[in-house]
This record gives sequence, C-alpha cells and structure tokens, in this order.
Amino acid sequence: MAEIVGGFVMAHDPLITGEPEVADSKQRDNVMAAFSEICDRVRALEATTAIIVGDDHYVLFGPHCLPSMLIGIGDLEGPVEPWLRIERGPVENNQPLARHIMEEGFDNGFDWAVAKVLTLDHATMVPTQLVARPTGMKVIPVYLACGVAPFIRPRRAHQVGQLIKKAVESFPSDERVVVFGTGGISHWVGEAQMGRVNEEFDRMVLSCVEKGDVESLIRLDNDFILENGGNGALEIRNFICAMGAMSGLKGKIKGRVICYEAMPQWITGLGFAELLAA
Amino acid sequence: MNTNMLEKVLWDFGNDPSRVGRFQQNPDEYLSQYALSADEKRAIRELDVRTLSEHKVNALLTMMAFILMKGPQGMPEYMQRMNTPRS
Repeated sequence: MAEIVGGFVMAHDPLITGEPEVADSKQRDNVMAAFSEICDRVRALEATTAIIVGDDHYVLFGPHCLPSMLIGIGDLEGPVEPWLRIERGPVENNQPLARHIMEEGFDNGFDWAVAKVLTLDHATMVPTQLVARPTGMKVIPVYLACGVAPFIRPRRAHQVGQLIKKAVESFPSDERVVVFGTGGISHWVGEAQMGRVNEEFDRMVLSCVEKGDVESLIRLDNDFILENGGNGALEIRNFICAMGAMSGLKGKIKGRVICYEAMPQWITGLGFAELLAA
Repeated sequence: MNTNMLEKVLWDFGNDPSRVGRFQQNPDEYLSQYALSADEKRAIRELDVRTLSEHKVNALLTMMAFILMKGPQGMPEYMQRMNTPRS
C-alpha cells in the first residue's frame, strides 16, 4: 500500500519567486536553503508524490462559489499569477491517488469540492516550483478555505488531514507520499498593517509544531489570529491539516524547525519545519 | 453597504482584466450592470479602499483591484489610503 513517509510546513509567499530582489540577501539565502533542505529530505525519503495543502486568495474562486475543501483530481497548470516569475505550464498530478482520496472522502463524510481542471495559484505553485519539480514528484493540490471567509474550521482541517492519511494508506500501490502544509505565518495582506510581522506569534506557532501540539493551534480563535498574525495567519489551518496527515499510531507527532525568518520586505514571517511521527 | 456585491464587482476585475478598461472608459455605464447603491458606486469609482475596508470588503480584493487600476506603482498610494481615516 502507499504510505505517507514525511510531512513539512513551509511558506508559500509569492514574493519568494516574484520579488526576490527586495529581500535582505542573507534572509533570502536562508529561506532558499530551507527549501533546499526540504528537497534533500524528500530525496532521502524517496517520495514520489507531494500532497500540497494551500488556500485560494480570492483569485481562483469568487463570491459565487467558495469551496471549503477542494481537491484537484485532473489536469493541473499554473501559476495563475503572471508576476510570479514561474513559467506557466502543466503540473503533473497523481490522478489515480487524487481520485482515490476523493472517493475515500465521499465514503467517509467528506464532501470534497472537486476540480477536474485546475489552474494553481502561488499557494501550491511556489512549493511545486521549489520542491516538487526539483525532486521529480507528482503533485496533488488540496485547497482549504483559509484566505476567504467563510473559513474551514481548524478542527475540520485536521480531520481532512487524517482523511488524507487514511486514504493514502488504503491506496494499492508503492507510492511514497509527503504532505506539505503551506502558508503563513504572520502576514497582513492588503490591510492597513501590511508589512507587519509578529515574530512572537510566529515562534509560538512553530513551538506548537515542534511539540506536536496541534490542539493548541486548533483552539486559537479567529479574532486572536487576526489580531496577532493578520489575515494571512489563518493559513495555519494548512499546517493543522498536514499535522493531521502525519499523526502516528497514537495521534502523536513532533516537529523539527528548519528555518524561521521575519521578513517585512516579503511582508511575512516565514517558517519551515519537518513533521515527524512521534 | 452590500459587501457581497462589492466583492463581486472587484473580483470580476481580477477574473477578467479587460473589464478594467471598460470601467475606466465609462464608470457609470459599467457599474450599472450591478445592483449597487449610489454610495457603493462612489466607493468603487473613487477606489475608496478605506471605506470598502471599513465595510469588511476583503482586503485581498481591494488591493488586487487597486493594483489593476493603478499598476504596482500604486501600492504606496494604496497603503496611504488604507491608513488614512476618512474625514
């Protein structure tokens, strides 16, 4: 059967590829080194597919239709943003596994929204470009409602992760799968405080990831997150989902922080960690 | 203000940037296709992002629409407007 062999939380800040020149060079190098280390770990894990959990930013989906949880099961291409400095083109999906995750969801009370054709935005394209492509992995995109209200409940995001784990482990193949929870951490996008980074909040989140304390992240209420981490910090739901997918036999996980950089020039506190079954 | 409809107007600009030109050529005619009040039309016409923000219009959309209208060089003006209370 297929198995989840690893998990990571990482940034998907579009300025990483879109405006590298505005960043402090040392910090930029540290961030790129973090992506490089994740690539090395992916190769060591011999992973074949990355399930990349991200969120739309009111680009792919509009006020007429806002999916709470969506999986791309067919043709993928991207990025939708022409300024990302990533050449637009096809992205290889693991369609049989994606369809299996969809079906397993339907059989277990998870009514996925489904994209048979999907143009990816930076949330999934930045990790695709910087990790999946260099390591030759196929990509399965999952979009959770974190950027546009109504937001998926954090508990539900965790359950989606657990569903993904169950589905992967019931897929009859030797696929080795990694799960990426992407986004965050603190950033205020388009708001009056844009450019503010709250390192204290970010390190609290990473500490929870390190300790495997997903419950503390689930219990953070939206008002607290918005005040202390900005509208962009609601993306920690993607972290929570990845932690759900990595839960060990007794639901225990832990994390290893790879890098943290507070980068106002990139308007974000960028955090990277490897998730490990405890 | 009808936040849902305001978000629809702004989202449509991003989904089909050719709409920006039509809007800028004749804002009143363009906005007549939406069910908007006089105040709402004014806020869109004037790119009054501060007022839109105060009425909980999603900041992802106000920023995206402002950049579409004014270009990336409009960001300093966007931030000034977002941080300047209306008198």
